Formats: sequence, structure tokens, C-alpha cells
Amino acid sequence: MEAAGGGAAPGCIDLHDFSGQLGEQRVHFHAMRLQDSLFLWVGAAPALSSLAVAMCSPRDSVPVSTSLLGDPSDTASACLAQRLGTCGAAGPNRSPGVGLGAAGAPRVGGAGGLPAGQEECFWGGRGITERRDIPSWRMPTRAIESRSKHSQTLALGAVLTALGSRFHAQHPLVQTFP
Amino acid sequence: MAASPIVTSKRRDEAVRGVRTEVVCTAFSNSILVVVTQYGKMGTLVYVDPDTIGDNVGRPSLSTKVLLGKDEPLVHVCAKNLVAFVSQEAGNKPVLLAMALKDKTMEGIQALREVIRSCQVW
Repeated sequence: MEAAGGGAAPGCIDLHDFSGQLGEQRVHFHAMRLQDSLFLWVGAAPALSSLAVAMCSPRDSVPVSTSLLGDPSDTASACLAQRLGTCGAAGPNRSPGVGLGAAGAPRVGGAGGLPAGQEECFWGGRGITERRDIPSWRMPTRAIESRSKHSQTLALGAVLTALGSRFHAQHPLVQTFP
Repeated sequence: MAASPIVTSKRRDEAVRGVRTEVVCTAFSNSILVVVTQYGKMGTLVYVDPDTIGDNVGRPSLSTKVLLGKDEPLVHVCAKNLVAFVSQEAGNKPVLLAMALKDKTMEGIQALREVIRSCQVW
């Protein structure tokens, strides 16, 4: 991971820009840490076309998530937000929080941007949001063709796991996130 | 080696009419994200979208949609007043506004607008 942009004084909004190589795909991150929440954008192209939010509930082990912006029929980002919220809830703090994120609508075979699908998600632990651009080499052909929610979720889950492990391991922002 | 960010952002932290205010503006290729907070949180999310038809004098009219938070008239008014110029100066791009304001007076909004202007990334 390569970082660009720094933090701010304590109590201020923290901005972090960094990027990493995922296979042949350069993935960029833009993180904004706020009070009790984190906004995280992840993508290969600088577009912002959909938005989802996830929030942990003290009464339920499954975080609640919803899509705020973008194609409402595409539940991938909300599903990912929920899964990421689960990751966040596994941390030391399980108090409710809100994570906001911006996500790009799925784009299949688009030129000039991502070669395959583009997804975003957010996660909330005390709130973290993510947007994910799915590189083509990770997206099964069947998922691209059929847009099957199940197969798509599986594909996204694999990328999420790969990205998540790198992100958690290599960027101090998440390590210090409550 | 530091990589150059794919999205440009600027932040400002200052007291506006005695209230500590943080502003962050981020430019995406298809929209502008503006965070204006006096609570340190994102608060209400409003999507400000220029209509393609426009008004009678040739300017695009703005539609506002509350994505998250309290959907009341004052929110729409504040949103339009805060970021209408951002959308216009950015070439009629939509603006995603996150605002958590203590001071919603007209003077406060005007002062906030100048802080947003100082974080120009469009």
C-alpha cells in the first residue's frame, strides 16, 4: 500500500489517501475519519454514483445496511456493507455507529474505467464505509453474464476478503479505528 | 513512495460565528462531495442535483433529495444555499452534501458558504 495525504490534529476530520495493487488492478482508497464513523471510498476510477450505509445494532449481531444512492435493484453494495459491518462488529467496540460510503453502480465491460464490475460498500463497526471496485480477474464470468445476486455476492465476497485482509494488515487507520 | 490521490480533496477547520466548523470537499469525476460539520459527524446527507431542463432564465434548477436524516424544508433550503454555487462552478455536477450544523441562520449559512469556497476542488 502506498499512502498519500496525511492526518490532522486530534479531534479533526482525518483524511487519508492511499492505494494498493490488487493483482493487475491499482485500487485507490479515500478515507475520511469522523467522530464515531468513517467514510471510505475504494475504487479504480474516481467516480461516485451510488451510496450505501451500514450500522451495527446492539440488539442484533447482523448489521443493518441500506442503499442510499444508485441503482436500488442492485443489492450488492448493501450486502457487502452488511458483511463488512460484521467484520467491524467483531472488534472491541460493538456500540452502534454509522458508516457511510459512496459506491459506483455495477459496470460490466465498461471502457475507460474498470474492465469488469464495479461495486462499493460500506461497513459499520462504529462505522466504516467502503467502496470496492471489482477487478475483472476476480469476477467470475457467470456472475458478469447472469448478474445472479448469489454468484455476484460470492465473487464480491472473495474480493472483499482479499482487500480486507490487506487493508487491515497494512493501513494503520483501520488498526487504530475503535 | 507516495502515490498521488485519484480524488482531490481539501479540508478547512475554522470558527464560523464562534462555532468550530470543519469543511471537507472532495472532487469525484461525476460529482462533488461536500462535508460541512459543526458536530464532527456527517449528519444529514443531501443529494443536490442540477436538472437538465433548467429554469426560465437558462440556469439549471436544483433538486434536493435527503438521503439520510431529517427531511424537513429547512434542510433543503440550507443545502441549496450552501452548495448551489459548487454545482454551478463545477460545470453543473451533482453535489453530495453532508451537513451537521448548529447554526442554521442566514448569516451562518453565508459564512459557511465562504468556507466551502475556500476549499475549492472543482
